[in-house]
Amino acid sequence: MPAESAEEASLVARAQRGDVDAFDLLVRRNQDWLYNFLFRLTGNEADARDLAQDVFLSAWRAVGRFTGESRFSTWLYAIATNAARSRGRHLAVARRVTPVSLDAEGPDGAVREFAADGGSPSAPIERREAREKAQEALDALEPELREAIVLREIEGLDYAAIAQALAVPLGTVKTRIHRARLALREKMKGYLEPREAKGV
Amino acid sequence: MDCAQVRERISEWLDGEILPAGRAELERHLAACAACRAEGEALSAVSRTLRALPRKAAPPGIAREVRERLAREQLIGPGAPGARRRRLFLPRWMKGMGLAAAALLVVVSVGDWGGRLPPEEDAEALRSPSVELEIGRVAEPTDGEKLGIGDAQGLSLKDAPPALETAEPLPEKLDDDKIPDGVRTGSIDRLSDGPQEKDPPGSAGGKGSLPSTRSLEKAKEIQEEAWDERFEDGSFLGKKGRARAATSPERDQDDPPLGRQRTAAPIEVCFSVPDDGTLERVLALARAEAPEDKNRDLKKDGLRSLGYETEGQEQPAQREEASSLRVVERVLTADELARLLADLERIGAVPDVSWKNLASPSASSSEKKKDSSAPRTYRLVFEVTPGAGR
Repeated sequence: MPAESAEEASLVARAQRGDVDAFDLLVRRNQDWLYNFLFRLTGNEADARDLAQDVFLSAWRAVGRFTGESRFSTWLYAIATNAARSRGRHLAVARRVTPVSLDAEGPDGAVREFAADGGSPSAPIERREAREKAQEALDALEPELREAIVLREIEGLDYAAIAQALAVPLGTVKTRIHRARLALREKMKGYLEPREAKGV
Repeated sequence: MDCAQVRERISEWLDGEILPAGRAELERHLAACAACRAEGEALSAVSRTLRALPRKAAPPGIAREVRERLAREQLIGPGAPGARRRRLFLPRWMKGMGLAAAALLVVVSVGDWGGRLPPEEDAEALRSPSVELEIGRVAEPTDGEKLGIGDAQGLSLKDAPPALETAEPLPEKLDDDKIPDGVRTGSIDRLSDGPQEKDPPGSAGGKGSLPSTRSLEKAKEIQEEAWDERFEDGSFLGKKGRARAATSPERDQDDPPLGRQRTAAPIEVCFSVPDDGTLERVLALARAEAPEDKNRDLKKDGLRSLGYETEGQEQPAQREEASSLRVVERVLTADELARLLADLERIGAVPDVSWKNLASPSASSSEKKKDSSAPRTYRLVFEVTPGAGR
């Protein structure tokens, strides 16, 4: 979950008064995580880019009605989720094979590797396969399960924030996350990270 | 706590979201049960794998492109941000009737959108959720609103996300006060199968009064005055709906009147949505989310359990009106439909949705063969639990 600060709250307040420069700063501060979120939802870079723009435009139009009762980022997550739904693209993605770029670069241009898991010469290839398998498994999930698990695992939101972003009860969030994990476990057999889980 | 209960809650535990009391018990079980520990490890591995996926940075230029679009779409300047409150047009009487204390029957017309919008706007319009739905439940009806609920309130989540708005601004909600009641409800009767009754005494002028007999065309004229250019050509009406409005006697032949099939017909609203799969997704979600107990209660007690019938305040004439079929035609984008369903769920609506509820009453199979792109009309039933609004 992106960090929020008093500075961001100030930018939101300025944007609410029509300050487009403040909104521009909000866009720049939030674009990376928003794009990543949309990419994981849609499995498609072009869709993620288009949707990110649409989300920011929608946010600009509606920022005057943002009351601050939720975090600004949670509000953006909600807009983004609706955006992806409205296009039906993360439904369609489940029906197609989407080649996922495995040269995915992080914000600093570096590929974030899996946690160190040994020095096997084949490890990079295995990691690549694991990533590919993980994205394919995400793509194949039912949309509502994908939304919940991406918000949890990729974006790190807690259940309460996910409930806000998806506008569903907390119990629904719990159910969806659990169902998503069960489904992913089946789809990702043989590709799961082998490290010991804490406390298990 | 047995194995099944533990496994049901193991994700909560992994996420640190389980309550302390349950956690202690669950951990005691895990300490003693190797099978459940293995289950926990497997799900934990799913988490680790997903969290290890590389993060993608936004491609360069998004901020600039957003700024350019803001300027191009004239969203910068006096009055910006464009916070005009956009609402889904729902007649006041329907807000009153439907959402806290009535059953809502939604007819969804799925099909061809071509030709209703200028070609260059089609794709954008389909992507554009365009309006923000506000559906409300009002605490107590006032005089003259016996079947009505007055202004919607309280149901929109604070900071609920706006509908995605990528195209030109869509019209403000039609100001109810500018629409003569008879006209506002006229389009409903025109599409209905019920008898074309005259306005029951006292109903036409009252807020929340049920439909009276006026023409769809007249309603459209009034709406066109208030809606912006996109809708001035009547594009808020589905092609199918316009055809049905113009040929309602024929519809009577082909399509058994829904109002006569039900002892107390709910309101029927005809929506068009793009056939992009969103409807199926939303319906699947609605089925998954429907509380079984509420459905059972409603099926058992039927519409008598609904508040508007049991409050006993309405006049007999109005009650009669309530039992006949009303249809409102309104094009919804996929997002609007999704938001409608979400808002119904929020106020305690129990979506009684299954594929068997979906029918195609208005197009024969031979017609479909001739024109595979012809809109299909589906029926979708929602029942709303009285007083269940949150």
